[in-house]
Amino acid sequence: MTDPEIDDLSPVSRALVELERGRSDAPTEAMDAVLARLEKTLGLPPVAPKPDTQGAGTPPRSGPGLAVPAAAMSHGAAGKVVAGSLLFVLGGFAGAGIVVATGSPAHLFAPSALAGARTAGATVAPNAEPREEPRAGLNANPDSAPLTAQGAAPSPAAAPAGGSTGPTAGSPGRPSPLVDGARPLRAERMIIETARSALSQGHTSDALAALGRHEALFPQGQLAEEREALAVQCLAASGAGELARKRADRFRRQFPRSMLSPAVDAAIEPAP
Amino acid sequence: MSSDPAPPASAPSPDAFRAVYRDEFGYVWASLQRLGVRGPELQDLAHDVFVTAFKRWATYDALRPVRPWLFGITYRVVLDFRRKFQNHREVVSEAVEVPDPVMNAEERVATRQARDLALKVIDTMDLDQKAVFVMHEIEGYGMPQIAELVGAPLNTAYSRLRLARRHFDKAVQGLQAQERRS
Repeated sequence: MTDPEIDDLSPVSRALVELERGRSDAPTEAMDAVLARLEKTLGLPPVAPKPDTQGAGTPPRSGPGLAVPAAAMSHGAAGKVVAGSLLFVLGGFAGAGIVVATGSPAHLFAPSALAGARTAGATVAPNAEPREEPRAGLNANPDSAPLTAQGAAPSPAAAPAGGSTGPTAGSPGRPSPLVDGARPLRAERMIIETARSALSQGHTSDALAALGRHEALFPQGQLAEEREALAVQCLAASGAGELARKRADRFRRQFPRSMLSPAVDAAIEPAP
Repeated sequence: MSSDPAPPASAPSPDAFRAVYRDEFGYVWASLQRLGVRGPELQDLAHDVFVTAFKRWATYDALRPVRPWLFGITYRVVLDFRRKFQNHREVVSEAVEVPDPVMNAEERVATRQARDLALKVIDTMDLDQKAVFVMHEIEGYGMPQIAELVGAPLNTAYSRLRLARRHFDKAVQGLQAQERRS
């Protein structure tokens, strides 16, 4: 059966949906409390004390008919990266203190933010029929996988632990394996190059998405300066002038002696 | 002589069940929130979802991802709850956020605000639309699979998706307009 024609979500709606994918706010206390109730309800025998902490060891997989794919096991780095993409675009606001902890978050829809908000949703094809067999879970969208989206090939450091049932990249308190990988600089370069290439072709949304991934994975990375400079250029090129200027201000504060300052300044200069 | 009959329905081993619980609790928790559950009901319904999963273990096809199956259970648990408490008033509570080591404090606040915004908009849909929207747009499930999970004809599922998208866009536009006025 072919898909009926259905209008796709607007870019901003799509970006919000993408961000919601990364939700992972289940409190540990609730998890423990519900488990205690379950053990009582179901009459489960108590667990012997384990030497390692939660998720640090290989979870038991001995049950009948139990075949939970590794990809289904976490909210994952992918969601974090998608969130990072949108936050990256919104970063000018956050950095300027416009995003506040209370009250309506409606300012996320400021016109200058809207230009960039498409970023997070750029990987979802309109009316596309999703996978029949999704990679279950919050990182079901393969386009949101770290480093593999936007055509960037995964580096060896970025390769997921195939078939591993161990802890996952997105586990709270555990850094992404991408960050811990043997060649993080190579991974950083790949993302930055993806962004640069996309920008040079005028694909600013793709470029910003790549830069967002970089910021999510390597917030203090060796190429952070380059990332921030590129971000200003991308935002300016996408017409988000206000965001670009705020980002440029932040860039100057963070990297006062940067050799990239002239390029940043040029990006936000008004056209003659 | 026929082949051996299928093994009787059996519950998972306690270890296996705990492993699934540990891995999927966050997913179930998020799914419940997306389906509009808040406050103390979150724990109650998360408990009910896993009790149902335990009891219905035999219906889980081990060759397929566990999450769609769990989402189907979650949806029915919420549906049941709503039917029992038609006039139930949801209590919105502040979720306790697990610190993300990658994001700084500002980013966490902004992320949470944007996510809460999406959740608030989803909350304004009716449950049928909400379920289809969440499964398709957030979980990425195919429409035939969704139709099967919610027990609705495929065309009905598509219709719900269409309405849900329209509703979501309209609500977001409303928020944008609200901001422009303020």
